[in-house]
Amino acid sequence: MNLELSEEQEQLASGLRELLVGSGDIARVREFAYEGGGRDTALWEQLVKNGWTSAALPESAGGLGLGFEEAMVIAIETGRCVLHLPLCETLLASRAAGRASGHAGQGLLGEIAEGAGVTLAVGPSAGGINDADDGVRASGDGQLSGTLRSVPFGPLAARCLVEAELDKGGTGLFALACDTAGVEWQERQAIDESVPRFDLALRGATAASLFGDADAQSEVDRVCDEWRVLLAAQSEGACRRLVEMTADYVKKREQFGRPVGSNQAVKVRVAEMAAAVEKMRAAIYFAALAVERESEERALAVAIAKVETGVPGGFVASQAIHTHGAIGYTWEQDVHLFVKRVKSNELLLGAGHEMLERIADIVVDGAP
Amino acid sequence: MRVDIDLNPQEIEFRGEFRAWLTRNIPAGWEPSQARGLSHHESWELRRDFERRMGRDGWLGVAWPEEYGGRGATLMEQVIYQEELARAEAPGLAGHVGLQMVGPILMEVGTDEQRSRFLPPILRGEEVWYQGFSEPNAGSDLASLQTRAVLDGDEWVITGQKVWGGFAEFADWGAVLVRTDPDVPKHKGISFMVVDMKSPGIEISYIREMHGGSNMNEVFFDGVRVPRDNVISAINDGWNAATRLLTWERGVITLAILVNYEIFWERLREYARSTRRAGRLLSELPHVREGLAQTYVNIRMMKLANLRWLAHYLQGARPGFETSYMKLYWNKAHQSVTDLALEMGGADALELPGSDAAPEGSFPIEWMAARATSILGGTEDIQRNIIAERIYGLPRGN
Repeated sequence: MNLELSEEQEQLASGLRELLVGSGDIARVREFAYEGGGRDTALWEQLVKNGWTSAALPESAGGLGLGFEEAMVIAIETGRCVLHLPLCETLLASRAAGRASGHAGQGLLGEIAEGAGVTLAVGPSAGGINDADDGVRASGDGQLSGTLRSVPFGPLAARCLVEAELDKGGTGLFALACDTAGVEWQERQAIDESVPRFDLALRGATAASLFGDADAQSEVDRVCDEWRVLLAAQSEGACRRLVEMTADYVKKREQFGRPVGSNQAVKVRVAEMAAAVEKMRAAIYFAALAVERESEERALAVAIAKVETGVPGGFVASQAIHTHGAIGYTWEQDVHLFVKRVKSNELLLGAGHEMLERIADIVVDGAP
Repeated sequence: MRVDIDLNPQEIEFRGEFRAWLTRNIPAGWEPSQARGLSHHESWELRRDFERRMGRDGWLGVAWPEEYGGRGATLMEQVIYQEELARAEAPGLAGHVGLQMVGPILMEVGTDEQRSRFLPPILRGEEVWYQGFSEPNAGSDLASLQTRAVLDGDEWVITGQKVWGGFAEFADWGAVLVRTDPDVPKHKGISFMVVDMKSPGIEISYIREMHGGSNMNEVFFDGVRVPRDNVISAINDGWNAATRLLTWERGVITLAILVNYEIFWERLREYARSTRRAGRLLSELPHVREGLAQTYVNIRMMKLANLRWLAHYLQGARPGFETSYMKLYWNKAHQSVTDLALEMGGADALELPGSDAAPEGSFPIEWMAARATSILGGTEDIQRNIIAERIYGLPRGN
């Protein structure tokens, strides 16, 4: 990829899109995530069977050995259909486990290869999802205690990567079984019901440290940066679909005896939405390349991807609702499912203004 | 490592060669701060001389195929060429109408006589062309132009008015769109003519722009006589001939233009780091930091979006309607960074540049120049129509 997808990457995207559309697309998200259908084990198993959940595992661990550009491609597709399963989080956990040495990493890789879904409870120091908590501490023998708020998918995943403060100082990254003793999940009412969110309380729960007693702060930062890029990629996918839905709608919907899309005021809205989405695409490619190539510009590129999908994402979402007219504000129309995902992703792990400050540190002050 | 399109050794060498040439040949007195003090004629003479030297050393028309005397530069080399010109803050090429438009069009649809007469002097920097397209009543709707050409014996007789083109007074030749058949649909009755700009019946005046300077002309044609053979392509095929290359140039040109914005942004950053307001550095104020970060993102994104499409073109795709997105990002990048400049300069930025050449002296001029960006080369509104109608299929017209 050189700021454009390769043929193989295009095929990867269309493969996942076919699977997700074929399995029910948005109707399925509604059924399971919004209408109390419960855990969608059938779709998860289909993703497992077709290799999607192990896409980022090394080939030696039974995976496809795909890199971060491909993870981004997958994330775009999960955004296009607001997927209600922790596929992106599992890819990120695979990458972290692959970088880990020792048994804990190998163990997690093996579990993912067998179909375990993994979620992430990281990021307090990076700011964003868990600021209000007292955080998690790890005792010398790997017992975790403390609380974290708003962990996506929670016990719907089998494993959870947990960031914890080490006894002797520094940060550790732990693999936790979501149903082990001393783990308690409390569901929150998230606006984006396709990503149910849970508070996590840990009371001496046993977990395995991925990086031994070494300080894993840079690994945690890396997971957070990669997560930001996948959130941004999801938003791009969701926003692109919103533009397509909106264009389709204004071509069909007639008022005053002609399609509403024949009015220039409406065309301007659609064109501005499209322009925002094309820019998002360039931003997420840039960020994915920066991560993949270990670029010195990683922090900058990640922040730019978050900025470009943040406020502009909110803009595309709002315009999509507005341009659909009153129907766009209803529960029945699919627009709100995408809007909620885009808005959530905008706020998670650092909203636009926070990311702009990060960019200012780099480009104005020359911070690394 | 920076994420960019990787250059091959040949391209790196090309860059080095041109950069070295520019270092030796940029005319003295052309530094941006001094150039503003030049009269129109002085500025023209500097440019003219510079361009002849470029022509002499083979640096004009680098994109032209070798059979027409060019270098047959690759698309990437064209980008490098434009970037280096911008980075060196070289004089804008007065010959760009001939080099970018007339030359390539003649190569595609001109006659052998036209090619051998007109191409070599363009390449030597000796003959300059004026572009006579827009009219007072034909702007975005260019095809509704009304300047008429009527055949009288062996000559066309042109009557009408053109506007917004530049260098008319200095130009040797005009590439002018005229109506040759008023009785057919508007796109089908237009011809593309070569006019000797020193012909009797041509009158030229200047339009004063909002910043006080004058770069654009009004050109009046009153019974101007043009030889019958001075038509490019077939009679009434002028619209096709003239517009086929308009989108082509945008990808390369926008990448070069944004170098100017990068330079301007860096000046703003230095200004913020060295200017105090009420005891605090501008670069410490949250709204300035956010403004610098956001405009940096706008400029960087303009570049990345362009590079993304350039990657397609490098693989052989022809530019299409996506060039309309580029124009929108270009407007945003230019206008937002100059808006920020005024905000940072405060009351100091309300004064036109004086002799003290303070950094903020250029802010109001740049800000005013940026107001033209969303209008020139196809207005922002036309670009949005193109995106909605051509890319997303919304109904055309009202």
